[in-house]
Amino acid sequence: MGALDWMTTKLTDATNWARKFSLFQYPFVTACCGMEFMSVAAPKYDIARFGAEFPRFSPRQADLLIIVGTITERQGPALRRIYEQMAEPKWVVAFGVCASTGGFYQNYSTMPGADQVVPVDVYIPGCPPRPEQVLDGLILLQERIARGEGHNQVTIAAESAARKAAKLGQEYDGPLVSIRPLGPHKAESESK
Amino acid sequence: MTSDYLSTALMILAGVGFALLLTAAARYLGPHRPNAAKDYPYECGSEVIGSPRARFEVKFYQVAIVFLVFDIETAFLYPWALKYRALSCAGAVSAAGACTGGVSFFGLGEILVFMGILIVGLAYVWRKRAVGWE
Amino acid sequence: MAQIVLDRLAAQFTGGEILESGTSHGDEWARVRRDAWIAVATFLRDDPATKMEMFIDLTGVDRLGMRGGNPEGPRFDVVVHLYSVSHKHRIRLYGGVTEEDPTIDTLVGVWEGANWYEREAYDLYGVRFKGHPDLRRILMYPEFVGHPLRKDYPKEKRQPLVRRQAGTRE
Repeated sequence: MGALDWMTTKLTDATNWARKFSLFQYPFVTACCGMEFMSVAAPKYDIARFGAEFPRFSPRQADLLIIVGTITERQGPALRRIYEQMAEPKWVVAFGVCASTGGFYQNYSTMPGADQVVPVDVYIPGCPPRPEQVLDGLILLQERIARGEGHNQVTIAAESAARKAAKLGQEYDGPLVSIRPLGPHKAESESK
Repeated sequence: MTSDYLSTALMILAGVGFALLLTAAARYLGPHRPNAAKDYPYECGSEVIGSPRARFEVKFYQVAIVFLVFDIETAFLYPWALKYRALSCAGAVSAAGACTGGVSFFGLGEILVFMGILIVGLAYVWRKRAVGWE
Repeated sequence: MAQIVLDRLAAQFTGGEILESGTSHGDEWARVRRDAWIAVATFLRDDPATKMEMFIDLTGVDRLGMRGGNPEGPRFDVVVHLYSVSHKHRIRLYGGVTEEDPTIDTLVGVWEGANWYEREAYDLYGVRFKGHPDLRRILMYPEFVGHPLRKDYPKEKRQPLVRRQAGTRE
């Protein structure tokens, strides 16, 4: 039993390692942050060296939804539908303050943050954020993916754990349990 | 001769097998959480406007057909070019590559006939303005 | 520099249709009585001395709390900017619209370009344009209730179309 768990954990680690270094982004670009997104993707700040090069403009082919720029209330259903159309496992990054909290907008039409409609894994503040900040956010996301802490990953893990428990006839008591216990963000000095 | 076909068969097997392996891996190892939105057509998140069954301009079809014919012709030129030395030799080609026997125009004539037929076709298509875009 | 426009307007409309006019910061403006809106616009477009072929902008103003010297005056203003390509002069027209009857004639018959501008003024201020071919919201979504740029619309009010389930990771 211990050996099987060890193998499963190693397999999960390997899968998460592969996922974090091959993110297919769906850049949902609406506003000025798109300029910084373009410069991150350009050769100088090169997001390709982290594996997240190809923008896939279809949710069916993407696993990372990057919400770049202001989201209005009118766009809410569209963004929600795009998130639902993505295949699992999927992650969401809020790029810029408008996508994180609504930014400097507080009015009748701006949604106060994209996390009102989709669960966001990493928030990258900035108006717009510098490319180095974006890459830092991407590395943060990669660490979360490696630990299995993305919202969607946790949901999938919880559902499969519940299914397994039901098959064994046991009670499933944890609502959302990740494969590893959720830990704090490790500092740079303790990098894996 | 068997080994030629064997390598081709192995390549086909590897290609098809790889595709099947990846599909199976995605099906059995990946998460399966269907929802209604995943079946809905993708139109950047909004409701679908209009039907995908719009009329297409025939110029796309024309370009494709003309391309296909002349591409096949080009493909036929390759084996002819490889065998040209043997075809233009009235005798046999020695091991060193020299021609024993006289010069024969069989290869050249053959390809000129082949291309001539196709050039007549090209001239017709050109006159009918099907090679351009408009 | 568009004094000719104001002079022509004063000469043509002697029945009090031009309530006020003047020059402000180098731009000429005229306040037009609501019932003469289309007549004045058509005249400005067609008269050879003014020849305002180009419709530049139409917007609304909510003067709630800004009526100062005239508290009984109309609450909304419809402001139209016009430009003459041949004479190179401009004018700004103000049409007062009251709160009880927030309607004014449409300028779509005079300049086609006024169409979406009037839809925007309707959407954000609630000013209805009589005779507009397709008066519906343009910036806000159809389910939106109210007219957001009115000064009595609370700025923190949210009318969300969709929200995700709070407390979940979905």
